[in-house]
Amino acid sequence: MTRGDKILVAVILLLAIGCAAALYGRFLLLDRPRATRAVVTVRGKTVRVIELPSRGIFVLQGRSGPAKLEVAGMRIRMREAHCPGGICLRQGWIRRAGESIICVPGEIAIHIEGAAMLDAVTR
Amino acid sequence: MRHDTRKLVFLSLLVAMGTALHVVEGMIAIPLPVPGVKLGLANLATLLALRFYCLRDALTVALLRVMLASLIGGFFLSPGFLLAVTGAFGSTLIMALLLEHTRCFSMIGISVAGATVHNLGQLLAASLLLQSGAIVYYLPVLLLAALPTGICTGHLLNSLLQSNSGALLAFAPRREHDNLLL
Repeated sequence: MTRGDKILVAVILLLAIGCAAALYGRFLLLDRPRATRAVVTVRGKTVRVIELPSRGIFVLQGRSGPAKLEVAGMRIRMREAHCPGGICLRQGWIRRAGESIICVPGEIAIHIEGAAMLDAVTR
Repeated sequence: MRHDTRKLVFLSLLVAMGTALHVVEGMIAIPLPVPGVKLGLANLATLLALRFYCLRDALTVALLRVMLASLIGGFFLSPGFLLAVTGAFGSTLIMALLLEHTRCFSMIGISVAGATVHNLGQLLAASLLLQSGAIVYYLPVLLLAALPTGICTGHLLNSLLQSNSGALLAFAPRREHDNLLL
């Protein structure tokens, strides 16, 4: 292989990768559902629906005492809770559609819902 | 006259070789998740014609090869035939250009360029045929596929030209003696 060959191969390789990124990248992003709202359930009842993005701290009356839910833009976390394990606290921030924080002792569930997803597109 | 006979025989052999490779190649499935990728060994015949004769002869060899292979394969004048013709013509033109006007490429580079343009031409023809631009999503796959296949074919040709003992090359004229070059 001469130098010219190698340069040609490299150029075509870069071109292919560039094309792939430009053409397929869009699909990868589109396929991820956008988080639109968070649904907060306490003891089986939906007590609050938070449209995202939003900001603030919400106080929930869970089974194991009051819990504070913090919403910062697209992210949500349990900021304060009095449940024994503290699993909900340790989970940290969630932000993607489909993610949830569930506090079993407090019977609190926060679920992020996304925009309706397409299963498939036919032409 | 003797020269013309040699040329006729050599080009005919190339057409026969190209046709055989084209047909056999169509039967070998390359284990890839995408359809339509093949080695492009038939391009060897076109490249040899280009190397020893001129662009016109190479185009003749390519066209005859595609026509014969399509007759054998049963896709003469079908959409697939159109794609094959476009690809073969495009690749022959670019390879002639590089072979005549540049010095920095070996047969590998020329073969890679030919494979790339072959695939691009096919893609263009397919999108015109289907009246749809959606097929452009196949572009990265085809570009990427052109690299290994082009390198393989070019490497084969490089060693074929260096070996000097091939039966085919016994028929080939020396390039210096060939004043038919356009």
